[in-house]
Amino acid sequence: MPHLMIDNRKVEVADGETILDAAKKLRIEIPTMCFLEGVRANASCMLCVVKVEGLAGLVPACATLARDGMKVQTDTDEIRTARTDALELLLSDHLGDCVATCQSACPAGLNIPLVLRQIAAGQTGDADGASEIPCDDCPAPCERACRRKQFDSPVSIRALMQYAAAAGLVVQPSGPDNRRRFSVHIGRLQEGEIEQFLAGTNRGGRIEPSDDGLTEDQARDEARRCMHCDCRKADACKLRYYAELYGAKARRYKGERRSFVQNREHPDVIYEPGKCIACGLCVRIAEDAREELGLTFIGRGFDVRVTVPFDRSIAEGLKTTALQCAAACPTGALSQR
Amino acid sequence: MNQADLTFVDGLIERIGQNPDAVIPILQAIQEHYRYLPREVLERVCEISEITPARIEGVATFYTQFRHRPAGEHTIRVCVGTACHVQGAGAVHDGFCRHLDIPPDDDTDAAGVFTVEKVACLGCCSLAPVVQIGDVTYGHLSGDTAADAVRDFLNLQSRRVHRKARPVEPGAEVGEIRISLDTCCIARGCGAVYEALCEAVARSGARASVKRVGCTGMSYITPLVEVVLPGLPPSLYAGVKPEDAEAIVLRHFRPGGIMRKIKTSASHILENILTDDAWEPVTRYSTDVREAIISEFTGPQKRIATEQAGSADPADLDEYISGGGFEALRKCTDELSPEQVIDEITRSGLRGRGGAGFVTGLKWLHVRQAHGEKKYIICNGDEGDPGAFMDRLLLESQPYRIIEGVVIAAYAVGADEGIFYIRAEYPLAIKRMTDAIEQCRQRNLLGPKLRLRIVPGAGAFVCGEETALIASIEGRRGMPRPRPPYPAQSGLNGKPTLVNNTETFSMVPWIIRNGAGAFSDTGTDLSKGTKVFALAGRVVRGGLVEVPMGITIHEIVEQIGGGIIDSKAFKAVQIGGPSGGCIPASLADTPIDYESLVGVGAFMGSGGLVVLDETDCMVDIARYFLAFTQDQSCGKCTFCRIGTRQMLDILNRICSGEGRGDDLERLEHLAGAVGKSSLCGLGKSAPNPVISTLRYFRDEYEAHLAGVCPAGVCKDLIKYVITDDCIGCTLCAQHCPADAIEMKPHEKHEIDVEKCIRCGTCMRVCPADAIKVE
Repeated sequence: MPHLMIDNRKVEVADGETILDAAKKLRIEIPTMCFLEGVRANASCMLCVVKVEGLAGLVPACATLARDGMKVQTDTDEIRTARTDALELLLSDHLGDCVATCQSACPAGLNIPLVLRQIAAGQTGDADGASEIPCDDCPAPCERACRRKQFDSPVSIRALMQYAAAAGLVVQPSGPDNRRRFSVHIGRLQEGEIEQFLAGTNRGGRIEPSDDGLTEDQARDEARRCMHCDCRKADACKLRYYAELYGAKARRYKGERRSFVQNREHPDVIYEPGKCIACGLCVRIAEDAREELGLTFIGRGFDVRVTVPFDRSIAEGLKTTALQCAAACPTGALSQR
Repeated sequence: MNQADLTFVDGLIERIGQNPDAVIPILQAIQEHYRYLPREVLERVCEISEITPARIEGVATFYTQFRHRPAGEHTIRVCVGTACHVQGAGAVHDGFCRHLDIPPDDDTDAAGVFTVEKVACLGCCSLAPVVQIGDVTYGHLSGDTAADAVRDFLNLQSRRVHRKARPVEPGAEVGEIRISLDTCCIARGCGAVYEALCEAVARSGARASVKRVGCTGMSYITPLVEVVLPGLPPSLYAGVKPEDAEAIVLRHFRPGGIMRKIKTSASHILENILTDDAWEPVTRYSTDVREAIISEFTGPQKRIATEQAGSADPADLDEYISGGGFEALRKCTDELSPEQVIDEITRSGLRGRGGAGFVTGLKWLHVRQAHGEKKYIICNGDEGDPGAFMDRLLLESQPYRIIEGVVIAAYAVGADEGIFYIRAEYPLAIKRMTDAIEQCRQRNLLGPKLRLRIVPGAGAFVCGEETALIASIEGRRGMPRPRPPYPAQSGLNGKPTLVNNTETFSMVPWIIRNGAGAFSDTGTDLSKGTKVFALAGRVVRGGLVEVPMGITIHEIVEQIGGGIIDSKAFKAVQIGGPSGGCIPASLADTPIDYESLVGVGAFMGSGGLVVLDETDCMVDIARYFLAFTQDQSCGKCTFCRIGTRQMLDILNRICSGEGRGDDLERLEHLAGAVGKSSLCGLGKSAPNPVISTLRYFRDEYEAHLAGVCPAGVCKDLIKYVITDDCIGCTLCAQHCPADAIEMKPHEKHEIDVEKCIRCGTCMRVCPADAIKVE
């Protein structure tokens, strides 16, 4: 049974356990993204790097076996810099909006896309609990920011918010103030990218509300014009969480920008390859569950991608494990619809 | 896909097996049959084997060897190894694409006749820039002569005749004519010379045997023919052409039989040859082995790993045995316990010749001590560095010796299965090793238990890393994993595994035969013995050299290499390829050993040694190597996957004159981060070429930031101008592939900077030396 020292504290682990396992015993938190309990470690994101005395460089705690007599440091300046570097490199190749442009523009930070999804799904709330919203006197900067205008005209967001409030849906900011949180943005769309956003939306023109506001049918149709530019994992994304924690800068390294792709073939999950950090969790989950097709890495180096073999659809690839993969995905690359 | 096509796959799976381990050999066979990997065929493989779609797609897209779209009838392989790169391989590649009208995002011409590929190294550095079309090699090409090569090849195809060599009757020989026949010699026409010699001997009845031997190391003067007669010093002929064969044979051997009668006329012919103006007289090529040039080339060298290469027939087991082969093995099994063998290797001070320099005996000991019934031994012949061809020559020239090294190691560590992992790009090495293993098996030289086999690699530099290599043998994407556990504890299929480089194994029989002391007498305190290098670049003599550790860079460049071509100024040597660094001329007294090289920012690597002169741009060199490692990154860990790409972006920017003020700091920061935190050796060493050039040639980086490439290499920072020396001959205008020069007979010409593609053609064709780079 190896004994080792982590941050100058002694710990004993079983044979075959890693530095990360050992740190957990001491309740020392080491950040991880590509690691998930129960799935064999891949050592890809390198966020969990630690310093082992006597070894050159830094090693990933998730996949380095604990050995007797090891002396490990988990939180030095050198390590924090390396983790920040890893995050900033991943962010240079991470394409998406953490927060929808409408929500970023909203003075109250309302979670507009969520409300629009509820309207589109025909959800209703408790009519007695109609919430107060600040939209009535607002000049609606949300609509000016709405990306839909690059195709035709913005969604009637203010009218939809008013409709939602009256219908008793909960209209409020999402979690901590998303606008002040660390966020990445796509910026200007490249040619043809708007088509990716339009997939599955109502392509009809903007419905202007009458003086009485939108009818139920109108509201649903108009809400379906929303392209849902927001990230479904805005609050669960580990990349965002750790970028914030380590003070990473989203634009420290600029790289060749990929094209935005949104794959909505699967009934349960949405796949946005631009947000993928190639950690391989989904690949391994699908493989372990013996998915018939599953997922695979294709290519190598900078161009490595996760796809379904033989260009089949995500729906064919992930027949049983889609939700498990979406839950495991550390970013919004795979997310529940 | 019709039925017949799929029948091939069905037969293939039946032959190779359904096991997922076999996925790489299966894909290689499919590619050989179809010239690419058709989707339908891959799907069929999954239907009838245990290979999953995820596995086959993952593997098929990982290795460079595999194509996913149809290839042309002939492949043009443009070598972009280091020596070719510095001598304009990029322009040659562009020249072929231009001539064949291949668009930038494609590699095959519209008619499907030619596919143009870049290959890491053809191992003919002394012919740089070099290209292989089909099985024909063209050397010293440029962008504008690419078209000539294509025409010549097509011409050759249309009138190709197969000459058959007639063998000499055995037993009647009095002398031996030796010719080296490894890949680079064959590439330089040794095959045709060999056939011609055989024919000449048969025709004249000369009592001589023509014998193929392994690499002599003297790549710069091949085809090299050596005539050995009893009691006489050997005569050496360099640069021999097939038409010289007869003259060489007649010069040394008395014709027999009917030929005797026409001897006089034969002498007559010889005289004609010697005086015929159309042919260069054969004596012109003759060089005696003791003459200055060759003895300087061989003098400071010491042959341990390459002991028999160049004198023995690689395929002749009897010759190997009569020269002391398998004596070392017999000594081990008869006189020494496995522990004593390991002790001997440890005392010799031998360190891994793959680059990192881990103590070999210690590695063996770890595998010996690891628990487990089943143990493997792997000979790493996945030499993927641009500019390195040592392993290939060792495997081609002395297969038995490497096998002996492996068998000794297997005895020492207790392994019962050995694998030679050899690049598929080395077909001759694979063939010779396959034959040699079979010969050894038939003669019971492998012992009762040991099984040896060959696994061809599929083109991934990262597979030189031992954990990635093991993944590849297991039929997976060649992705490294963190160590510990080391392969010595948990390697192939989770069993204890010894992985050593080909050159390391090649040292082993010598050490056992001559004793640890004899080996450790050579070299320095911490680096014992010798190291094999592939010497190339701007030196007069390039080729394979084996030098004692501790020799200085200066001695290699000046004495062995004969100095710099055209008396240009020696600027630096690049040692260790993509993992190594550039050592400036001012540090040429640095001794070659593991620690000294690391001390000056380089790395032993596997042994590429490229000499650079004043016409080489160090920023471009750094960019060249980084582009290579970036392309070869497996893509697993963040630092290597994205970090090297970011570094390359910065270098591209600097080389194109768009560098920004803080780019050098960014580059340094990234280099540090990638080197410190990448998962495997490839990533950790990838920044070395950048770090070392920043350290010694920072002024060149700064000049680029200011918009100047001091060596005049970086295309975006230079322009070609015609000086007043122009004689108005119009040659430049005729040859310009971009129509950037208007034809003005008898007037001074001008280059349209907008249209100019900076290929340098005009400069090469100008008879008045009137074109300059600014």
